[in-house]
Amino acid sequence: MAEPSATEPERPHQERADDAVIATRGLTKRYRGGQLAVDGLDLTVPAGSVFGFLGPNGSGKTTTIRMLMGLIEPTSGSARVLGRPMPRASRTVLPRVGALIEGPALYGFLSGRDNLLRYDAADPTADPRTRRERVAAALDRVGLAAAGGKKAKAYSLGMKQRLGLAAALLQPRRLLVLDEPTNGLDPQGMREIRTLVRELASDGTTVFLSSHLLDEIEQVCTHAAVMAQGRLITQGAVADLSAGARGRLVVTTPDAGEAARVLKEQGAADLVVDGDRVTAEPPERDLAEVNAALVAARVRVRGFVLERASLEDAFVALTGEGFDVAG
Amino acid sequence: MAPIDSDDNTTAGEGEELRAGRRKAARYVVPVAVMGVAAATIGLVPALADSGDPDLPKVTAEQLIEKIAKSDVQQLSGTVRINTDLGLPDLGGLESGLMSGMSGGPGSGGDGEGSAADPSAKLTELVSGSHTLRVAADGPDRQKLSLLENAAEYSLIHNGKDVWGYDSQSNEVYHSTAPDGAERPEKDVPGKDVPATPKDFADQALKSVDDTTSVTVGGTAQVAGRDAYRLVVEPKQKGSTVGAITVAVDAETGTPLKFTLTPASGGAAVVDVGFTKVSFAKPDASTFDFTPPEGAKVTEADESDAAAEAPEHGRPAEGDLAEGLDGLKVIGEGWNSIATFDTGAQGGLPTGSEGGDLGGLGGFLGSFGDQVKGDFGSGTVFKTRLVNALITDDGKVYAGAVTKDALVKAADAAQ
Amino acid sequence: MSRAEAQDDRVREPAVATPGGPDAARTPSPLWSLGLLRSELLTTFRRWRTLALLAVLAAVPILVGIAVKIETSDGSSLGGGGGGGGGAGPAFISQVSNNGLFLVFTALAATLPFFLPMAIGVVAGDAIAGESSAGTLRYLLVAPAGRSRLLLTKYATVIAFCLAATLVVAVSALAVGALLFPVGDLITISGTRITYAEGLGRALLIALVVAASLVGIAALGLFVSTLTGSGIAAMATTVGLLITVQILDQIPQLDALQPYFFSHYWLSFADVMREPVYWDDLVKNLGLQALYAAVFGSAAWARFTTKDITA
Repeated sequence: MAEPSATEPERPHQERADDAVIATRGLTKRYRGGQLAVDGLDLTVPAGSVFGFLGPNGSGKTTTIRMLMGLIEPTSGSARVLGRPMPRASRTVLPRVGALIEGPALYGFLSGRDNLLRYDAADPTADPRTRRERVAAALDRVGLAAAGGKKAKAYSLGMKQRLGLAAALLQPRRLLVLDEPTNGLDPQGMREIRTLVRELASDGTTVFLSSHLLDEIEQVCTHAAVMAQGRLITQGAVADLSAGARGRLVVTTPDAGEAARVLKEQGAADLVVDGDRVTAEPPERDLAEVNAALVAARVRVRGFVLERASLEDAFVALTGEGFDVAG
Repeated sequence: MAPIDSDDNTTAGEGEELRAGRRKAARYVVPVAVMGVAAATIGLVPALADSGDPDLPKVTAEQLIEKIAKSDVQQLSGTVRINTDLGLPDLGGLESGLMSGMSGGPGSGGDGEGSAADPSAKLTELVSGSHTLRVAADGPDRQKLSLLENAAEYSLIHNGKDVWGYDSQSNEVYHSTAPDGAERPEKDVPGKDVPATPKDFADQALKSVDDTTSVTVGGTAQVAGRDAYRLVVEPKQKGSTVGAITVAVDAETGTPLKFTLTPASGGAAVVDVGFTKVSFAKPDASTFDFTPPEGAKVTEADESDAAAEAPEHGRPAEGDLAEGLDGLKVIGEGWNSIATFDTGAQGGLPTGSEGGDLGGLGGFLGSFGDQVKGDFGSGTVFKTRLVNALITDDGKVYAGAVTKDALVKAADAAQ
Repeated sequence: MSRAEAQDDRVREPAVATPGGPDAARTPSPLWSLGLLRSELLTTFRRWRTLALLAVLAAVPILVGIAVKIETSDGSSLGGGGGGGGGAGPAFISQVSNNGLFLVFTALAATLPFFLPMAIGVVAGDAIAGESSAGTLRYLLVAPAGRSRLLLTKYATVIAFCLAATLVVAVSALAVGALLFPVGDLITISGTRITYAEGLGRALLIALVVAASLVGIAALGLFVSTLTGSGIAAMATTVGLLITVQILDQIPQLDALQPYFFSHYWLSFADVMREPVYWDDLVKNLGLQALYAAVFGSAAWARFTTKDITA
């Protein structure tokens, strides 16, 4: 195991990686068929963040998460979780990580409680004397206390999802990895999960949340990374990411044709006229001048708004394609 | 630096990739190594066990034969392994059918009078294949011979005047009474005339020692954990199929521990009988106790004449087998003796047209024979690794432990 | 190296871990590892499938017992009068009507060639592959159960099942035998008489030997189980291998290979009923089973600890 890398000089990102909860360097996974699932991923998840891991289905999110959890060995590159290398340090890292990977998996013939007891027993650092209390607390936390004695195969999809979450919450964790946690849930269930995530984050737990739903990420995450086709496209604070993309100017007016002409004169590009709405990429100049020009041309303006860019806009700007395109 | 930092050295790149691959492959070394060690153990242990030929004071062949003759081991128990490879065509059921036919019928299907526990039927099984036997003896009155079978056992117990045969598979018992006392116990125990122990074989072999035979001491050996001398008996004449007979004689007691007959043609031994375990302590008296178990079918010897007669036919030795046949002559002497008789059947092999079981059998056997021609005419030679037989077309049979050429020569000379 | 050495990392942990919160040092006791074994045993023996397999095994002695009872109800003894054959039916069956204890041996001889190893094949084949296809394997591993520890636990559980399955057959046969047939002193196959108590002792020894005879196929099944992600495929492969080997063991041309087939010495358990006990084949059997366990156990380990878990 001691394989000194004498050739490797002190790396500049070393300090940054130290307080990162997850840090990967050139993480690559090529499956046996030759398919490149993850390609040179450099991911940094700061401690205390709620980190959105975004990407269409098939973009390599799950493969990345499996590598982080030590389930898949990277083809090359390295991954560090809680400052320790994975998968080598699985034994010390994983007890402090709760995970929900690709949906819950349960023993249908066991009750919800027995499922949790089994997963808790699988953790060699879990004290068997307090196992029942831990399980009861976890069930309580996800609102399954009443259904704990029911066989898991009788659970609805939402209940299974919650039980999976409960398994991730058996111990106090430093990192929670939640892969598509709201998949298959009704809007009420989704809201509950998001509330739970915010709660956990406020306790200081870092949450790594993968999703293909943009608004979900936008609602709960402080940081985000975007993946497409196995590559990391961008990462950073959600606010910075949206700021990177420019907003759009929206003018509401009954004189749409005239408004469009004026806006074009004023240097706005990409004009779209849709009924009484004219949208355009705002010109470089002061928007007050633009408004004045409209008024001067006797365009009756009902509304004049600069719409802030959404994460989706950021994504489209980055990839040049729609979000739902599968990699 | 300290190993604490060692896991910081996870670096990206090709090296890592290669190492990971090598690490994976390295794990498969474990099962391969386990297999290697096992193979080495299986290969080496017998070799190591063999290597220690004991250092014993030199003896001459005469002294050794005398030692065997003087040997008076009354108490003994052990396990005997018999391997017989006569080189008969592997006919499976037919072969054993022939064997039971030879033994006079009992035990063969449909013969209601036979008992599965009949000694003669059981012990002729020893003529082919590999068998494990257990023997125990305590004086002339108490002996036990057990043939170990799959999940079953055939036991032949001689205790005083009772002789019991017990076949555990069918839960059948055979009972006969031997004359009281030690008048001729060896001979009167049914089945005892079927050689089973190395001593039985050795006695047979040493009977034939005469001027056609060379007897030498061929070093020492370890048999069943005991030091032994190897007595090598070889025919001096050419033409015999017998290569050599080796008898391992216990250095202490003079008991033959192992008997090996190797054919002149080389290869594996035709007959290999030896103790794998032996003890000269007095066997537990309960070994010889026998009372028929509840529900067992008991056949008394005098109930079935056929069963009592059977041992006479049960001898595998070719001489005995031929005794009942008319016109038997023995040509030659010593190892090259050839038994000959005239079946009177013109046309050599009985053919199918003559009808009957034998006809079918003959036609079938014909396909295994070699056609030969000579001054005598022509005939068919049937070969095993030890005994060859020539059946001429005019119905004469020549058989012996001699080569094909010797048979043809004998046939020619007889013309 | 990776996962196996992960344990070593614990020693160095203080250098990295920050105090407080979730890091508050949990000092695990080595005994806590047994929690997984306990959980595994509970999970296995609470499965409907496991109980069904055991029920089938328990039914075999009942059927054999009733069949023998009917066959011998006219007072005749089984196999008697049929001539020298006696080859029909499992070993010892001719003695069952005389002594109920023989039903234990008969039942084990009847179930050992197929029913018992098939049950083991199902449980062993499903051990890893079943968890994999249910998806629960990934959660056990991130718990983290540890791959070597999980594999060892699985194997220990399969061995426990071998023992349980054998004892179920033996106990069922003992009860049925005592109920339907006379019991008492019995005759060994060497023709000597032993007391019923000693007979019981030998029956227990035989049950243990039979259970040990299944250790090899258990390891084989576990190895197959690490190769595939489908529990059904692993079970089918293991049972298929079992049948293939049983058939090959009957082909005379392969006699040079046969001593290395895991099933070759299975019936040697009958040697316990000889007087004195004939140990040679029993020892060979146990050695062979240990060899299979070592080879396929380590192959399963090599495979499982380097395998990508994608299900």
